Amino acid sequence: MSTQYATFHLAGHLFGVEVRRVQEVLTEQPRTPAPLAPPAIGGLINLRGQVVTALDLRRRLWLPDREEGQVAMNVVVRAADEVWSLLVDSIGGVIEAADASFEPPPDTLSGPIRELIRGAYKLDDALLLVLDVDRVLELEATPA
Amino acid sequence: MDDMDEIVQEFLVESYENLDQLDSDLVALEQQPESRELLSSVFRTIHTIKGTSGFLAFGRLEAVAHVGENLLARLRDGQMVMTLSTTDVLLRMVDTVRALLNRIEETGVEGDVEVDLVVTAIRAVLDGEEPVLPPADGAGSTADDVAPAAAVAAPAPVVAEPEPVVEVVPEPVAEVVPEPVAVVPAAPAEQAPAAPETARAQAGSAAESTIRVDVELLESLVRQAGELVLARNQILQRASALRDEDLTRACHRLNLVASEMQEGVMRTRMQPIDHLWSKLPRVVRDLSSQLGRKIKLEMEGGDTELDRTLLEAVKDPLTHIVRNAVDHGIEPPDVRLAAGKPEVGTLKMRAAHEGGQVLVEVRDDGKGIDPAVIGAKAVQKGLLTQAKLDTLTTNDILQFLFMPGFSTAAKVTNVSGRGVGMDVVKTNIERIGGSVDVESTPGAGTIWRLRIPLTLAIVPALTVECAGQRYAMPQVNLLELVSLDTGRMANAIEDVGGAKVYRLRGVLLPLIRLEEALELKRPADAELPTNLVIAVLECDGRRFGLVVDRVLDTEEIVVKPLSGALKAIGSYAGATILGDGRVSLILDVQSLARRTMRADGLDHIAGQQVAAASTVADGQRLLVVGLGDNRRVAIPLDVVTRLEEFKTDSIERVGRREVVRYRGEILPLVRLSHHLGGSSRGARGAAELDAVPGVVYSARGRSVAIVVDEIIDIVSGQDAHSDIDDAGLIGSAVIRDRVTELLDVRAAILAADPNFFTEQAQKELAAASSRLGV
Repeated sequence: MSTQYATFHLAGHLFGVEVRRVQEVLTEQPRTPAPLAPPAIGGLINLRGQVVTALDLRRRLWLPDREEGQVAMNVVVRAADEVWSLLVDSIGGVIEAADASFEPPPDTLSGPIRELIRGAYKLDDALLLVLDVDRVLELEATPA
Repeated sequence: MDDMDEIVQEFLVESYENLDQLDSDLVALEQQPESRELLSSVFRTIHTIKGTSGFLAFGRLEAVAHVGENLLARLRDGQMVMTLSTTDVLLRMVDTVRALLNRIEETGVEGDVEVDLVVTAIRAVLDGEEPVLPPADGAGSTADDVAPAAAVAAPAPVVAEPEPVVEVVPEPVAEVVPEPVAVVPAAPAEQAPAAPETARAQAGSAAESTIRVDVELLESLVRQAGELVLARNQILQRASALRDEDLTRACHRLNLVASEMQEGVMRTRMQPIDHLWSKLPRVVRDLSSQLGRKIKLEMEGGDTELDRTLLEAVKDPLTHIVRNAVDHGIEPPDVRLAAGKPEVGTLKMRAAHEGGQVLVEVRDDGKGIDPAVIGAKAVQKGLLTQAKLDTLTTNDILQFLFMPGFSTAAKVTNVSGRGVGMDVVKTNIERIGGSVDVESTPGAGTIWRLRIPLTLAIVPALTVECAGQRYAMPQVNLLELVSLDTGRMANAIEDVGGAKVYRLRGVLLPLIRLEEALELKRPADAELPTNLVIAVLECDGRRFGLVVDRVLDTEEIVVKPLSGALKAIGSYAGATILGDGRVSLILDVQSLARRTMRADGLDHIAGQQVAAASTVADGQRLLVVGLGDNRRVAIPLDVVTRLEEFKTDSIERVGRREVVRYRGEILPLVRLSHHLGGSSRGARGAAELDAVPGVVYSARGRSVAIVVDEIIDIVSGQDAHSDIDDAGLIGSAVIRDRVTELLDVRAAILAADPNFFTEQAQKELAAASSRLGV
């Protein structure tokens, strides 16, 4: 048995989201900042006439901010009754990961990020961290 | 069987519609017992119900309709005359029919709805006897406690000469009839009691050009039209940069078609407010006879149209206000006589379009609301201290009426005064983006005003810029814009107990800096704006100024919902997509307003407003503008489509006339000071300024601009009219202790564009004749 993941890179890590959760992947989009919003909110984008909230995954996962001028790609995911865009550094491909190689979050991960990762797949050349999309989008839990 | 259900369903829908009309027709008949047209219309409705119920084997319904029809036939043929008791039994018949229809709708059968009493009562009238109507058993269940009212009214001794209890002055409904309105089903002939012969002749063809459309389908069309408009805005913006001639032409057509389509689609959802008002004569009649009041109900502007979803939302609040006016506003006849007023009270409903909104006014000439009583009650309830109360304006005090659980009724009746009501009215109206206010003169009467947006899907908005970002806010809340250069700002903005205020024409205006409210950060190297704009907003009866960097544009926006995380912030009412495709947040003006009210140190400002509070009398709202020689001129606000600043260099001459380039159009322009034969303000002559304020009036695609020297204020109209006038004026009035000239708007518009009314009139004629199928 295996599961398909859409993968992307974030501060040197390889992350994956179940393919069925991903609606589409977009290059950098103009974003409108949302003042007073939690810091992890990366702004609002126009997705073919629909206003979609962007979540800055680096901030959400307590990783250092993107450098000035570094573009952010959009991974558009469906959650409950809303559509969100996850801001990531670059897009990987779709990876078929064998369930057998799945493990709980590695010990090397610590802090808040550990709570937001469901586990990891040991791939030949890298470690694929599986994002818990629903938890990531529970923003109340984000310390301001 | 399904076919049968469908027939019954259709029958029910049609019958309910006709019954609502019947209520008003019957009440109107009391006043015009001779009206053959009203009688024929009523007769036809009952006849149809009788016929169909016979066909569908609803025996009880048929029996009731049958005797009713007999009575109506005699009335129609002049063998009998309408009296109070005839109206009573007929209204009871309508109630019974309605109860039967309700039962059929719920259970599919007639059940055991009591009909014999009504049948007997009608027979008695037919035999020339006194009808004996027992108290209603809730038969007229549609109008909650209106039915018992009929019961109280009925046994009252019938005087030989029927006393007019409620006088209905029906607005000629005729104009709305021949118009093919998709969502108005039923044969329009029945709905046109007072229709003149011409319209009546057209009724047949009108029925054929009307179809029923699923409301869901209309809703989705409206949404899509909104999306189309957004897409068009984006395409136009891109195309203008490309300078491709063919593309420009195609865009131009797209622009026109999209606008017209949007307008057309919106119109399919529009219904005349008459649909809602038609129930009121009955409500007023029943209530006034129950309470022993004598009331004349007048209605004006029943053909004013608004979105059907809004119409539905306004129904309950409006009914509540009307009931309240009958119960608490208008005094019993003896009290009125003692106070030197006419015995019959007047309740006047008025609807009109005003500045992109629909104004619905309910005005009574009753005892009014005493602010002292309200104030005392508020103190007693511990809402504020007596000292604080003394600083409040009458208007502020009346706002307590909208507080939850605030009722001043000395005794609780089943009509109103249960402590629920006005707060619910306010909540419901504000939920749809409208507003409600009240104005009252003790002893002379009360005016309730509802301001309702025309439609929900697309709202006119003002876009502003602050710290490099754009924000939109609904224009509904916008009163005016004040521009300040930073040099002047230091003096103009004062500090009152830690809160910033601006002295706007002598009244202290609490300020909120958007930059601070949203905790915006300017990049360290960003240049600070050299001037700021104060958007003067009004919400919940409070005025405040929102300080922004720049005003960008006015734009029609489609409101999009926000994700839960952003909604929770409470500062945004939604988001929208602007012409360049970028998302913009819509500010929640209400929550900003609450912020000012919370701010410390503003409590005593209200006191200083007393000095400026106007003695409001007449309902009309006026825009006061300033001209040279310290002249002040008032323009009715309902002819003000928009206030604009025109760049002096965008004003050009065409022959003897001046025009201004405005939103891609050429607008004819008149300078008010020239028009009224005066001079423009000397040292600040228009030529030396780089922008001049102007009032734009638009109607059916035509616009004119009236350039003034200064926009001063918006006030409610005054009674103190004098007919001292001059060319271009219709009189003068004292507004805020200043003599103010009242502008003859028509003449001013004609001075800018002599064809403004001619072509419009021609268009209207053309539209009217196409409606009539000419």
